[in-house]
Amino acid sequence: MNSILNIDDLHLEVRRDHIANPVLSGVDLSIKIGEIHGLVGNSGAGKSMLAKAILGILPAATRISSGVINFDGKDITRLDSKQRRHLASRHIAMIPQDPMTSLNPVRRVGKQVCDVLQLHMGMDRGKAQQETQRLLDNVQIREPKTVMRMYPFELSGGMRQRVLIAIAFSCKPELIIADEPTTALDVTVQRQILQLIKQLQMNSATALLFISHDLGVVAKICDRVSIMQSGRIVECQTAESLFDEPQHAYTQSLLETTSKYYRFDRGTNTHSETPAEHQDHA
Amino acid sequence: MAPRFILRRLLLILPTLFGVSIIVFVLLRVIPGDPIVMMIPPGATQADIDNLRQLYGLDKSILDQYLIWFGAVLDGDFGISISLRQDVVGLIVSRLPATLELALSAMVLAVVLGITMAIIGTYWQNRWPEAVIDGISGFNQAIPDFLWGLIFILMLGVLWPILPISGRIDPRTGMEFTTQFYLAESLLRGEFSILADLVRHMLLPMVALALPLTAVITRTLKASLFETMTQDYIMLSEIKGFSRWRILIVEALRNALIPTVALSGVQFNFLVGGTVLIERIFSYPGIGNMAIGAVIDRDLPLIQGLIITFAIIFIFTNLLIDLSYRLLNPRVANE
Repeated sequence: MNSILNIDDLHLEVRRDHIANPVLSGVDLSIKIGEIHGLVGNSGAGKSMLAKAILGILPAATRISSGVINFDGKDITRLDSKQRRHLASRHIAMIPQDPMTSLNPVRRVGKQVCDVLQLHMGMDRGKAQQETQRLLDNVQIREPKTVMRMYPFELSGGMRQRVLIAIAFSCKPELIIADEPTTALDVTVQRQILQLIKQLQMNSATALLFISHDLGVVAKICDRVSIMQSGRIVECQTAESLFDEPQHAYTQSLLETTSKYYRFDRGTNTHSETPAEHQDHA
Repeated sequence: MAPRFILRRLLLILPTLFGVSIIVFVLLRVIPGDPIVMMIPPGATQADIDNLRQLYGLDKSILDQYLIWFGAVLDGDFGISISLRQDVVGLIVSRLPATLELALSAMVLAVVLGITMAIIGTYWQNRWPEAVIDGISGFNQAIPDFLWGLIFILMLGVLWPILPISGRIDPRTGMEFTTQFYLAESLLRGEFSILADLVRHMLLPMVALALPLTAVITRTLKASLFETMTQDYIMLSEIKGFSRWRILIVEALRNALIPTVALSGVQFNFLVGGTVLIERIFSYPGIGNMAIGAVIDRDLPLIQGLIITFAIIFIFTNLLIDLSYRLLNPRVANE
């Protein structure tokens, strides 16, 4: 299968007081078209920095010192912000970590979805509104018409994350980066959101880079998993073989600590929701 | 838009004004300075003085004076000016429009300039335009409005006399106004040469009043924009591919204006207070100028009327600021 994203020997450093500290030291990663690729590692391993490098939103003090990020055959590390807007932003979307701070508090929810459609899909306002309604319906928001007229503060965290997921999928991107998309949500909502992301991903040709520190979550939805430690990818496996026979010592220790808290029941369990779980309408 | 909120605030005006009237009335009679002394010609006898005192009711106790005055005020009668010998209400009504036009123009100018400079400074953050804007607003903030007034008179009125430095309108224009809102009236009647003359007269006092407020708005809004630009939803907009201008104007500005309105609200009142000195400096015929004259002449009825007028202006300015705050912030808009 072809890759949509190919990262080759990526080095990234942060400058502080004229000293360059390496954040990523030689990351190799390839994401295949249409797969869900897990990226797991402790905090500080460089997961979010890698995501920011792909998205082109690195902080000012950070610099890519060498390596390439090939997206759809083009190296996107060399683009300035204007070229990036034209080449990449329609094709790479993001589901953020914290839905509470990721929607503009003074703009109506529907407007924030419409904006993206008008920008990238060339829709006029009326068409974008129709499409927004359909998208919100797709992320299982009841009464999308009412929700479109609401402000973010009127929605719960789970509802906001659904809106953000709708935005991420709205322009049919080739790649979506989900940076710990369920960490800020409570446990019951987490499961629904994971299930939703998985379901939307299956219905589209979108590849998903799923960043998490939670192997249990990753086990449930990912096809392949990369393990990251101190700025490097130390292991990349299919999800099954990773859990059955981890190669790297760090992966083994991660699995050991995690399995104390989680029982891995992989497979169809993402669809076996208990009836008590209902949608998190405010 | 929250009619109950407005109604509640309007009802609060009455007790506020009542409080203001008591404080002003008592203060004016406790501090030194006797209006009668200012009126009498040299060589007046004690009997003349007593007669005058009795005529204006100044021989009664402060409480009695207040009750008489307050009773008349309830009928809309603020008394007769001691120094100008005219009805106080009539005097204020004829002069107030000049001050309102000056203060409002200065506010609009300050808001437009302040927002523009803050946006420019944020767009070119850490580049030379930001440094220039920080320099200008630091300088602006250090110089009070009346000093600007004097600088302008020296520079643009004396050294390089291109603008009029006193009055509101050239007396030779000879236009018959039906209202005292000269600026608005000449605009509505399409008298653009008259309008130009009014603007030329108003320009220097207006800019002098506006500059300190501009500095405050620039600095608070810029700080607030900087903070807003680091928010998650702004970062996400960048990822979505919106241009930096669009993000700044459409996404960040309204959010950043919320704390700015709250912070710079007080400054609007300083601007209204600033009209007193500025009108004096530029011989501008508004109520500020009249207030200084009234204080010099110890014209108690006129001072009382003017201070109540200023209090009403302050209250309405604050009401407008609170309303715009609620308009900007959807969280409180529906409460």
